[in-house]
Amino acid sequence: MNSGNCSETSIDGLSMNIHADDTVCPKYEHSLSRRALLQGAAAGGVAFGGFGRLFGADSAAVARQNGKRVILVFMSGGPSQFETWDPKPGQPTGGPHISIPTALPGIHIDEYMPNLARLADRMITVRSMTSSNGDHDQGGYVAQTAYNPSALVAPAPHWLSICAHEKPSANPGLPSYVMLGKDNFGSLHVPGAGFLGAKYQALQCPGDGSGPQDLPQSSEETIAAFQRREALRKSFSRPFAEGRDSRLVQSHDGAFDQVGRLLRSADLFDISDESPADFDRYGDSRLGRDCILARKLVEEGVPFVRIQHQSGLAWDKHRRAFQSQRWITNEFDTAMGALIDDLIDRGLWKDTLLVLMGEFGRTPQIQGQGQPGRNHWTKCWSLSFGGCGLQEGLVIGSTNDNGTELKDRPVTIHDLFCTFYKTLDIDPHKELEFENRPIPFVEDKLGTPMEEVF
Amino acid sequence: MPKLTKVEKKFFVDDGNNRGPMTMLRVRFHPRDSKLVASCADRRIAWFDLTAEADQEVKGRGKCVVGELVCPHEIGWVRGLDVHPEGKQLATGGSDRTLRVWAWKDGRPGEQPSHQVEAHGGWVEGVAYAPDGRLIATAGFDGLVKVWDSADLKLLQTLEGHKRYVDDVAWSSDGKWLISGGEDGQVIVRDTQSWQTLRTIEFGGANNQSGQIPKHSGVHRLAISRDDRWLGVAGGEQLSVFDLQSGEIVASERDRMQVAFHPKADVLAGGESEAKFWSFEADKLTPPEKDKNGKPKSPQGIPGKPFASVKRGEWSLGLQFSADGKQVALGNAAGIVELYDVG
Repeated sequence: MNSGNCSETSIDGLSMNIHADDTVCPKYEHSLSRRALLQGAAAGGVAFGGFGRLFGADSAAVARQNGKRVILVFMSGGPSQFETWDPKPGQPTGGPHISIPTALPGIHIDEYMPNLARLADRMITVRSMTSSNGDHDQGGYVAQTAYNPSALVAPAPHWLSICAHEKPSANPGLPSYVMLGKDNFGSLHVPGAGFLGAKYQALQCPGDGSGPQDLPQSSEETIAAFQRREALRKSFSRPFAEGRDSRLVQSHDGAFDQVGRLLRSADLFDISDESPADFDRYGDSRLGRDCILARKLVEEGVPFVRIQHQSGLAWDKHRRAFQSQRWITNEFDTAMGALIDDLIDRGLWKDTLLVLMGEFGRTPQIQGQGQPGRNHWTKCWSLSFGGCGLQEGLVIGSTNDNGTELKDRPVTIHDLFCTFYKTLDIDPHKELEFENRPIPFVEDKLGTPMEEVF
Repeated sequence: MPKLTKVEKKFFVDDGNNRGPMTMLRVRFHPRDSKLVASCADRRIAWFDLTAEADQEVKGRGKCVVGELVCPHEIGWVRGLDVHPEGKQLATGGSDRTLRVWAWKDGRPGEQPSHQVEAHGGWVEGVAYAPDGRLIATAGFDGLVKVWDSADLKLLQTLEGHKRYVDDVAWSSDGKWLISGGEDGQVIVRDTQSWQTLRTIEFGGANNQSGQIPKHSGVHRLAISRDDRWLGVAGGEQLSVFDLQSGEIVASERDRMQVAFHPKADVLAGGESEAKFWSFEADKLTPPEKDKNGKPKSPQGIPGKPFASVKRGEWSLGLQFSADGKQVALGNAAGIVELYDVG
């Protein structure tokens, strides 16, 4: 755990030194801070997750306002390309799902994605993703950091943590990166802020449309009580701060300042006043409610939001795949359709990058760990993204008739991240220093942006 | 006490495309010919000659009778399947939304469907001939039950009532009732004169299919006893028996997904990875007692003795007794159907 002042932090199980602080602090000196930090950890679901992000927003005041946003909907488990964006009905590998036409002539997608079919002319569909790591934990890490865990010299940050570092919220009262829900699988599957440190960790919300845990309801009484506690804390902390690195102490104090600001805008996370019709349109699901919250967050100025679609590797359909697949795809499509509609209708689409993806795809063979199902497959898989001024209605790459081979235009994870960063006006091959080593945003500066999307 | 004896030959089907086994979904005996058909993980159904010699060596499975893939739909998988009570035709329902009937001639279905219709706005999951063979009922993932004239597939009735996908349909042996079961956990019993709902039975087990390996939601399979007294309902976690007249639950077991009644005796079979067979005592199939607050206690297990159990592997579906009750067919996930003599 990173206590803000202590020297070691643990991000996704990887220990590292972030702050050079050789002072051993007596426990009593941390009593108040620790309590706050524990609350932050609870809110974040990871050590120091919640309040850690609040540090990051401190730099917003000096950050250049960009105005671009990202909503990443992560489909943990490895969604089947056959049952989403690259169906092969009638082929031996096709499975029982059939396809439906989309708004793009000649392009069909899964039958349980009618909304995404309707909106296909607003999105970019990539049918030629290719990668090499078929492990959920490592594949999830690669697909969200552009780094293979085995290649690490420093724990790689989630790409939205990098975005928060590069393009923090213009409003210092708002978090730059919020994570709605989290998969309960593995330590690498949902990467943290890595070497960037807790400042750029997502503000963790538990999902189901809920805001951070333990954040009190905003009221004059709450704010007054907080201010009283702050005055007390500062008086106790003064001797603690003496002789310590002032930057760390300021950073620590900054967390409490941020809590105060969040208290004044606690309704940021309150979706109870959203229209009942919206809840119907987004579907009666955790994902639907998280998408309503994501819409509100980006509308209010939070630039980067990651939404977890179900926990427990729900898209990992090794067995009994095709019947339950209908439910998850339908739930996904309902929420995505409503979200895209609203981003367009509310004028957010041109500045919001929406990314719909998992960590890899699934085998053409219908032979899972228990039939019928599909195993992990990295050779050729699909995802979709759109908005943020990118070209619309593109289908990039293709696979052969059976979906067993890439046919053209391979797109690597590195290409994908170069594309995303370029979309956000971030140099994909920029380096940050960690322990005097240059660390590029994309591993080994691999990949090139997919120019056809710009 | 009945006895189950394995017929020492396996029935196997494959398409040669090395894309995974033809996992069985439903099996049906032909009432006259020694033939068996099965819907499986394919756009076609498997056809087996039960009298053929098991003379083909199949890798990993030994000597088998290798079936043929017939009744092709162009896309999707065949999900629902039934054979006409007199064996004149068979009907297939597909995830391609179509219902097709295939004339049966010279011991096998024709190469082309004699009729086909776009039956539902979603997968056609359940298909069942009425006892007189004149009607076909279908269960659709559009939440509807439909009734068709089997001669020309003219639509006769569209029946609403389920809130989610409908997975199975069954007729009482006198044809007076049509029963449907859905993933909403409900069983609806309808009068086939008026097509009105007589009663709705809450089987339960409905879930939103969240997570990596969710249990099946609600009802998966239905079966009606030979005397139309008992309704067997199998879902993702439970196999329950209801009094069809009253709708009350009379027995329940923690077996899942499959249920079938013997056509000539008080024998019930059910279960997915392990198929169990009970010789049940009909006079002891009674509703659970009520506690002091008038609330029904948990239902009893199936009264009577289980006399056989067959382990057949995960996600093994397909379970039916032959019309004379002398055999039972069990499908499994490896693309195999096994036969057992019931003595």
